[in-house]
Amino acid sequence: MIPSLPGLVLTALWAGLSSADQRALGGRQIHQPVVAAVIAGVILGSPERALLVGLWFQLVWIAPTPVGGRILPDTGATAVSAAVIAASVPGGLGLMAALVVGLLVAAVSIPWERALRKGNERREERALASQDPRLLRRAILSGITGPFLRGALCAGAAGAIALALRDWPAAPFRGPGETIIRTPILLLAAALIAAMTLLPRVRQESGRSVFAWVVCGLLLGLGGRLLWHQVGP
Amino acid sequence: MTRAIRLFARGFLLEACFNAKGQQRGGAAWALSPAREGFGSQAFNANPSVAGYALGLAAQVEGDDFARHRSALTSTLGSLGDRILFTCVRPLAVVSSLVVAAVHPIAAAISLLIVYNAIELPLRYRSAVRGLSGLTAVLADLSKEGLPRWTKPFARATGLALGLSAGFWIPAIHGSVGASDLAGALVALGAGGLVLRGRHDQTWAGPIGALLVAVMGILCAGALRAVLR
Repeated sequence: MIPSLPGLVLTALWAGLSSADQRALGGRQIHQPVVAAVIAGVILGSPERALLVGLWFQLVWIAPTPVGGRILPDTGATAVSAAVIAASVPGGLGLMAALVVGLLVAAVSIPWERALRKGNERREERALASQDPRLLRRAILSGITGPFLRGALCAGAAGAIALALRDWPAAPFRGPGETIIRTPILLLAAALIAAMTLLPRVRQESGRSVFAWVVCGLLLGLGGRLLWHQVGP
Repeated sequence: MTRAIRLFARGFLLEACFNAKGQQRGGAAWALSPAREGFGSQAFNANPSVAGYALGLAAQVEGDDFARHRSALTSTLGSLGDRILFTCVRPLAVVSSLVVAAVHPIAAAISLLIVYNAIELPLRYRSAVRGLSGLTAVLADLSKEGLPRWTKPFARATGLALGLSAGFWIPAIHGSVGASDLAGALVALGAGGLVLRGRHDQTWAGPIGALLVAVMGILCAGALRAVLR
């Protein structure tokens, strides 16, 4: 579906808000890939395809922790940029391009965040040294604007890529490439990463009894699936 | 209550001008201003959701409880907040939304936001109220009988939600993949698990590992199909 200009503008604004939410606005979790991608997909008219790519990024980065000064990728901008491509470019090409563009945005966001923090440091030192509340307010506002612009620009760039790709053949992949899209193996692999990341951490907090809870959940989930087959859409 | 609401509201911008040197110092000065103009030049860093305990103490006009206990407080709040929020509550919200995704994508997004914020917002507000109440209240919350006792139930809930998601979605594969694709995927997942063990926590291990496992799965599935033909 060819994205409209108002749709792309709205998506860029949403991407900016998601980016800012990760650090500067207190973390309401609208930067989580599932949330960021789905809302972008709703704006562009394809929430299901947006959910697929949002889900992939959510699983591979299910519980990133910013310890030891580590800068995490901007998951909001990543997910929205991927959703823009997935919603606009049809077929397997769209999904693969969405993952590639998302990963590029994530890679670029880390040095970008480092540069923003350098700017924050300069403005904060000036504000605290002068004891001027107006300078402090300005430093806070700049700290919010930086990530917002990052998200908006990345989504805008993704929109430009989507417009360039929309005329490509819908299914250039054959053989293994087609299989990648047809099987859920991409999501299965991401789910493996998610489980490997989460299980040791919850085990550390809860002890070995957490596996009993996982098994209970598994049985409940299987029961839920059976029920879903009976009553679901 | 007005002071608590003000501290709670301003606390959302704690990390707005985060940087490597001062960390949350600028945001903390903003949250406290104009009550404590001389917040100090030292760096300040605590988990934002529970930083209210420290900021509330710092906002006291009388006494210097915050100055005396600053480093112990910030390190305790950092580790406790990370354990509760990053290790348990956030993954719980994410994993539970995976089940809800079966209903509709928007339901998944809304579910994630509701589960996380229903736990985090009251915790954030409580930290501001208790911080403003003084050191005794803060120490009561940070003691073994206080907040730390919540990490186990949240971790168990996360484990339950993880199992629920897996139990709900894995059967969905049935019918959409062939036997050789599934066998290839299982081989790749096993090999991937061995390769990634110990590395999965690094930032890029997740996506790169997932892509490698996917490619391995495709190749294994193709090889199995060729052998079985």
